[in-house]
Amino acid sequence: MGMATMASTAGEAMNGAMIDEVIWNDWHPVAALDALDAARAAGGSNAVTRTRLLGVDIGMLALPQAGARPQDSYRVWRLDDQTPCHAQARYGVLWVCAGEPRRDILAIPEADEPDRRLLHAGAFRVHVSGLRAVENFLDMGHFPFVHTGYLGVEPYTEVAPYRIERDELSDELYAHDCRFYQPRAAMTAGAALEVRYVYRVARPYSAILYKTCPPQPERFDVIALFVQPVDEEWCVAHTVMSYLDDASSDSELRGFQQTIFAQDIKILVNQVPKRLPLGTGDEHPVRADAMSVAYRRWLSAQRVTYGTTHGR
Amino acid sequence: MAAEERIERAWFALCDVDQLGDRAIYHTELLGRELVVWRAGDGTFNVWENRCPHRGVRLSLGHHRGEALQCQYHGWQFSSGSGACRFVPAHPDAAAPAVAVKTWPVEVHYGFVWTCLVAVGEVPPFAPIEELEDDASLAASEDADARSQVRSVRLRTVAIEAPGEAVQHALAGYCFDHARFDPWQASGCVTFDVAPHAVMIEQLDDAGQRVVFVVQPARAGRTYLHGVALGPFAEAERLSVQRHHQQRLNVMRDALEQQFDQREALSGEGLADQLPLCVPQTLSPAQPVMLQRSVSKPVGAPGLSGEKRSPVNPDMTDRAFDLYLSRSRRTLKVAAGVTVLQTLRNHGIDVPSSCEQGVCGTCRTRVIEGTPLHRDDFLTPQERAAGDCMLVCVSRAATGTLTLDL
Amino acid sequence: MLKLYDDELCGESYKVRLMLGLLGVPYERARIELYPSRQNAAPDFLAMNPLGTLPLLEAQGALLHDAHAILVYLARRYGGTDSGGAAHWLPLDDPLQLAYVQTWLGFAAQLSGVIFPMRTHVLHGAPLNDDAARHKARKLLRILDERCWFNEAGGTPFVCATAAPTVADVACFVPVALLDEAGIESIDYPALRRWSTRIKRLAGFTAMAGVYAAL
Repeated sequence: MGMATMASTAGEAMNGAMIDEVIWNDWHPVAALDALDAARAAGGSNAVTRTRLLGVDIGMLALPQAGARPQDSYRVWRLDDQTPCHAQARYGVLWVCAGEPRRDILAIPEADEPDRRLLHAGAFRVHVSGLRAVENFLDMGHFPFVHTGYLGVEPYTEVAPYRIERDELSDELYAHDCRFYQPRAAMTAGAALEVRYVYRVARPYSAILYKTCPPQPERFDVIALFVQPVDEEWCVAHTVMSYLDDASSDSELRGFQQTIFAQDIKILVNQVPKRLPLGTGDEHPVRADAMSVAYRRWLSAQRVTYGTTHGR
Repeated sequence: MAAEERIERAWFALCDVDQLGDRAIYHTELLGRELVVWRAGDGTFNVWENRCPHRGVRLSLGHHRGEALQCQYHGWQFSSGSGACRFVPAHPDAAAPAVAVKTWPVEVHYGFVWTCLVAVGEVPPFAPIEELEDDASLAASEDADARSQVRSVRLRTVAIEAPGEAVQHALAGYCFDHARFDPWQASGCVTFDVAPHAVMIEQLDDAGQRVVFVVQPARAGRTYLHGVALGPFAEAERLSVQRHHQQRLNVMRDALEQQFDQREALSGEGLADQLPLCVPQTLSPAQPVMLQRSVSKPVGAPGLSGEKRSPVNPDMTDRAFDLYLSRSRRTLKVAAGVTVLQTLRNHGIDVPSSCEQGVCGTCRTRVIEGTPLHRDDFLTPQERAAGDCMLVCVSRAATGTLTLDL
Repeated sequence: MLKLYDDELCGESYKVRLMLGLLGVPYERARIELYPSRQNAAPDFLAMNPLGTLPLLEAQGALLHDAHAILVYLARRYGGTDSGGAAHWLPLDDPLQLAYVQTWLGFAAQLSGVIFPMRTHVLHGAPLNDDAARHKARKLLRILDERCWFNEAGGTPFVCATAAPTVADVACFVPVALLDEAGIESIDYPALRRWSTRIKRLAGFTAMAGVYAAL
């Protein structure tokens, strides 16, 4: 048995297509920890939850072991040949590497601050490439049209110029000085305000948004979108929040984020093609799309093809 | 292959014009291409690719604004006729980018909108269907009496999960009788081919009633069927004629579909049911891996490293400079406040462009000598530092002269 | 004041929120989370509704569940002529029309009973017999599309062949509006698109995530 080595160097999807190393050997979210724990509570220690990652079906179990740290209590294996997969719990999510991890899961230092609460808003499966879901997360121009009354409203549609930065050390992308006029920026439905954002793309399938927290203007509320690439045309979006705001209940915050994401789902499932068309020249950006242009170029530079149209 | 090309070059009916009132956007498909059909306020008919050229969202999700369609995603508006973008809400004061929705040729005949999926300039002439022509001319007649008596009744379009050829073949056995409803009547009608994708069915009795069906091959395994019942009919008979044919077409459709029993394949549709869900014998973790912890500074912390834009020297920003074109050996003067792209255009030199905002990279041009002053949001820091290319729609020169590979 | 217990992503709950909006009736809301915490299966909610379903409406001291029953209640209480509202939502004085409304409410229940589980299957991987569901969905949608086409051709474009909408239109509208999320193509149903747009243009129309208002 056992062959972590079998799949280590390059990934093979079920249909034999090769998967980019950078994707195959990366950590990907596969489940909310709450969901795995609930499955164990309801179904006992043999309650297996299953999902699919990069075209491979995997099984997951929450196994509390005496003396083990909580993050070591999850087991993940491929359902086709029972090979174990690397698994780590972080940010309320179970992360899995199907290959051999080259680096650790992305870091969000803010999440460790003691006065924050971590909330998983729920996992939603969408029939589109996960790269499209990430790109949508980085976009502000759609706020008045898709998130009408929540994150934007006509006629306040203008996207002011913002600043792209590349962190060379970690090879991550940032968009600074983003701002947008929002009628109801968060659950605290007070007055409208101009919200300031910083966007960060940490991995091809993970992005984080830092938004101004009105009660503490020098710090940010953090919303992360961790996308599980089920295959090239399906994904599961895990939205995780690390919030300072303590005016709203967990339930209200989750409800707000779920509404926002469900508004995006309608758009995502209606994008043609489902895969991100990298290098085809069929889609045309404007200035407001600077971050998505940078994201697509960054994907190309890392030679990511999984979830794209492979140039066609 | 040749047959497919012939098919591609034919005109196909897409929908009844009556479906386009009330600012409707009609969503359909022809030969595997999704389309939207709509009629502008000034009466112009449009057949467009159902895809916004910004980020690929279906325009059928959008809004009919009278003389333009608006995409649901970012509110981009595209003008009737040309499909050209006329407004981008994210930049309300800027000129719209030179981007357009893909449009297809349109003609209207017999109360239907038709299209042909070929490039402008290669469009074949519309081949009239004689049996429907008589009717059309009567509808346009000077004689009010002729016009008032409804000669033909357009039927409701029916969707059938079967290939176009199979549908056309099944129509050979189609029978009807407006005088009475009898779904099982199997004789008394004869079918003629009247066009490559149209058939006429005629009753053999004295009444000689006829119906013409026009086939729209939507995609492999799916067909839309349009029909025209040829009268004369009184206005009050219209609905019952439509219902009569609807019932018979439903029977034909159900028989065809049973025959083909198309299972819709959903790619990656969900969780595999076949794999056994057993827990492996030795449930051990994968080999432990010592990993370098990912390091990332908290956002908002002072001193976050990253590229800093070079401070813009106000004296240099918009000043004029010389542009030397190495291949055409020309020297142009780029005036203050005029972009390099515009200057080139003014001299008849066409550089491809799209957003004209320094974002898309389409106008990237090689720099041979001189130092560009980058003002774009596209090039990486390394590319900027290398100084061997620039985006001519927004960037300028840091030196007095700039040499481009044009 | 009416109090509605619901979840913003719940299709059945949206039928009631939509009706409340179209009637212009104010209400309080209490969120009962369906996913991921399944608050609807918690003991304190089950004490109010043993079926554990959403929505639940607290009105006149009573607790009403079943979205269609709530639509009927709201139309009768706020949509009748005695309250000054529009009586077309529930045509009480016409036995035949009333029967049609009941027929199409039943149809909407069947349609929702197949579309909503398909949507939950896509969103959350809930188990489903996909082929059977697709076949049933297609059969029902074709019937509804044909009905809407002929109703419009006859000058009475709403589902019960009425000139103004009834509660049956609200009940049928929601599953049709969520077809994309259920993984069902709507391209074959142009009459449903026209009818849906008509409803979206009604005064008081309220959106939900994934359902946009129409210009």
